[in-house]
Amino acid sequence: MSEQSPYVVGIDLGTTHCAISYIDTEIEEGEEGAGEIQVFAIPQLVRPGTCADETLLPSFLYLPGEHELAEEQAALPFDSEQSSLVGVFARDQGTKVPDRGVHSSKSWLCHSGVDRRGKILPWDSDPEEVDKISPLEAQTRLLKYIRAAWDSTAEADEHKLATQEVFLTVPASFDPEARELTVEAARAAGLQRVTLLEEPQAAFYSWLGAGGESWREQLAVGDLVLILDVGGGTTDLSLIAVREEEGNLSLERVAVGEHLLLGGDNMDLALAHIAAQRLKEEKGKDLNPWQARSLWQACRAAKEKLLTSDKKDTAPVTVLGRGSKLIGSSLKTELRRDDLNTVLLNGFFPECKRDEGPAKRRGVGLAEIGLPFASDAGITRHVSAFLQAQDEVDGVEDGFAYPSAVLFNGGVFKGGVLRERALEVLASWATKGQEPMRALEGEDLDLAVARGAAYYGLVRRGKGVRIRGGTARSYYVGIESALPAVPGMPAPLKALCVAPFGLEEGTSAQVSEREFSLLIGEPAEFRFLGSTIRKEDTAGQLLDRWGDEELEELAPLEVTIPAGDGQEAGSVVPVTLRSVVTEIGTLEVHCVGRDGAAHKLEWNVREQE
Amino acid sequence: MRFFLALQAFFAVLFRGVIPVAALPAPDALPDGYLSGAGKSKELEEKAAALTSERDAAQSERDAAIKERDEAQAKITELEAESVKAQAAALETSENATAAKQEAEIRAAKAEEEKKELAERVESLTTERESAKAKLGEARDDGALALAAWLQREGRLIDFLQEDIDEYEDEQIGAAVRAIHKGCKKVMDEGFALERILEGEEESPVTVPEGFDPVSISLSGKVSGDPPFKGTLMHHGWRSTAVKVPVSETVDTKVLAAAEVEL
Repeated sequence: MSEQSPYVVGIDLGTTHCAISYIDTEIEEGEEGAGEIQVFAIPQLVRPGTCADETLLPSFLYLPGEHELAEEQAALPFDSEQSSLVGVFARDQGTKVPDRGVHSSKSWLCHSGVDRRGKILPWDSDPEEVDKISPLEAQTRLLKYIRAAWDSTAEADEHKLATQEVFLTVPASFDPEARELTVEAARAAGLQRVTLLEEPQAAFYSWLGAGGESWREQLAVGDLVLILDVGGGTTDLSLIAVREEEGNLSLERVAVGEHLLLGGDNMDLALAHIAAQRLKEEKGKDLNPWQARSLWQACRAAKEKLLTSDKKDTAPVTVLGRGSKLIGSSLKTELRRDDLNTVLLNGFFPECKRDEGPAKRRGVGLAEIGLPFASDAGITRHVSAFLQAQDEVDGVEDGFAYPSAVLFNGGVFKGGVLRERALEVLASWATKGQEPMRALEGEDLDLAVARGAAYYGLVRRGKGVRIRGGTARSYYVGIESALPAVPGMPAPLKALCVAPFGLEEGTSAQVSEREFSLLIGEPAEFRFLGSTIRKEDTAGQLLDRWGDEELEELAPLEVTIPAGDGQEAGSVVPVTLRSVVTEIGTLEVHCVGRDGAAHKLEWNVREQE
Repeated sequence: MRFFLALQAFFAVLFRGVIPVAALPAPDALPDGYLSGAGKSKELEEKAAALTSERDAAQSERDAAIKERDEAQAKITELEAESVKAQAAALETSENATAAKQEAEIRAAKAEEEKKELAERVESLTTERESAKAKLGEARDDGALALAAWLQREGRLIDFLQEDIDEYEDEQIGAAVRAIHKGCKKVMDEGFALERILEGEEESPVTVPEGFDPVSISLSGKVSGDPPFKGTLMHHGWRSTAVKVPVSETVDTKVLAAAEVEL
């Protein structure tokens, strides 16, 4: 396994789009194209019966039924090893027949409120009609498709994706079980050499790679860089600190934000609501679902027009008739610059003070049953809350980590207006004597994550500076106190730290000498908690109290220790706990018996109450 | 804007599939000003007929090549099976059948040789097929280019699509669209025989029968159970039963509209 593969491949497995980049490492240094990051154009059905190469693969599956598509309409020039359709046509067909379209499967994969191995997607459809699939299976099929598409262009066996070193990106806010499920999906898809990388870090690697050594001039010791990554469906925050190590600059990812289901799609949807309202007021028309979807797309186009040019203050929004009477049944309204200011700037990037945080009530963000969307759409407020929580980061005074620079990522920031607004708000948080935050100029906002992931492949081979990171939170096992029950009061919970923040890949932490009694032959369950805030806790530390905001309960862990020779099922053995961060970036917690035998605690990904 | 989209859709449809089977025009179907004299018309007609028969020949050549290749492949499979069988037989009869074994080996070798020959044949057929396909592709491109040029000539469609219409008011665009509509409609009427796929009023109930063709009828909404399906007709669809797009043999088809110079 340690042999180097001909290619290093970065896969951005996004909520709304996937992208793939690679570097051909067989080109000798000094030759043309050495170390160059290439983007793999993904062959996919774009219309019935038409396959084309696109740089982005929409992360949509369509589960065809018996009747609505002819075989030749779904035919691909290569074998995708599955019946589901993937990509542009799958997305479009999924809006026509919503019961059979699977979207946002990545958000479901990290949703601890549902059974992620259960056949629950498409969420609202009738299981009698549609063979539903699990979020895990959906991610597997996406990756399987990507592998088949790659292999269709790879002639030699040693160039097939299965054996390449693949760097797969996940949100920094993904918890350990979501990371593990992602790795499981990759394995099931036949990828044998997968390593995980956090998306904001990937965006930062892309920036590092694009500028060569020039980053050393742009950043200085003591700098903090905020990465603000607003994708189609999620917003992801990370902080990277620039430090000095033996006379050299080094980089460390010192904090990550909470998982926020808030992104570009919410923005378009919010604008579509305004346009729909306007149609209702002006023309007295209510939209049917088909028109509502067209309106959503028309609003997206109008938004892009207004954001990229300041020549006009309105952009027309037209929904054409669905029938053959094109003009007779078309609807027209407009989107105004004021709408963008109200909805996008004030709704998603509101001016706010540095000590403000997100409101707890439901705001402009639109809710869809099932996924836990962020209740406050104000991204800037989420950022200020994130920075306020970082009082343990080095050099931070007055309890607020004020970054010296920000790197924007995600298609949302293609509109210069939004980037300027965000920067304006961030800069306003500087106190006396602080330089206002400056923006690092990133490159392709859609492809940076995939490109950075491929570049990370080279970094892992010692070519370039590596960002130190480790676990994105500190993790705890909950222990219920042995106290008599008091009516109306839950038994107080204590939290034992099993993995400190920043535990690095390939290392492990022994959790004190404390022993637990475990029944043999029966499943034992551990409650499991994580914190992005308590970064100083060490493995083995026992907390008996903490602030509401500090610890968040995750899906429980479960272990069954089989009865060995001469042991009776139902008897009790003493065990200690140990945590390991694997080389590929997943966290494992083990129960270790006195005889040294270790048993891995499995994530219990079934539905939580 | 609306019409722009409509035409784009039409355009897309035409470019996708209709062109390759373009029949050649009857002279009276040619647009005004296309021909300069009766003699020329005859000449063009002959050339056009020649192109059609060349294309037909390419198609049948290709079909023949595919068939021959498939037969050859079947033969290979058969021979491979035979070869395996022969080898197995040779192994089985170990002691008293050395001679038989040798014979089987000879047969296996012979089969191997035959297989090699056939593989070569398949390869040459594949090359032949590729060149036939390339010829077909050229004919297809010429048809697409001719249609684009025709739409430009009659309806100024290329000028319209290439102009930035964001700068103008809807009223101005609407007035221009009437003229474009008139010209492009002429192309549609002369070049294609359009018919509806489903009869009946849009927005009214319709039944999709058992054994329907999913390429002609696209279902949306809640698709469940087996046909016949009851639904609402949203769009009656269009089908073209004949195509007559004139392709010039003498003029460079890549020129969609000539540059105009006044002296």
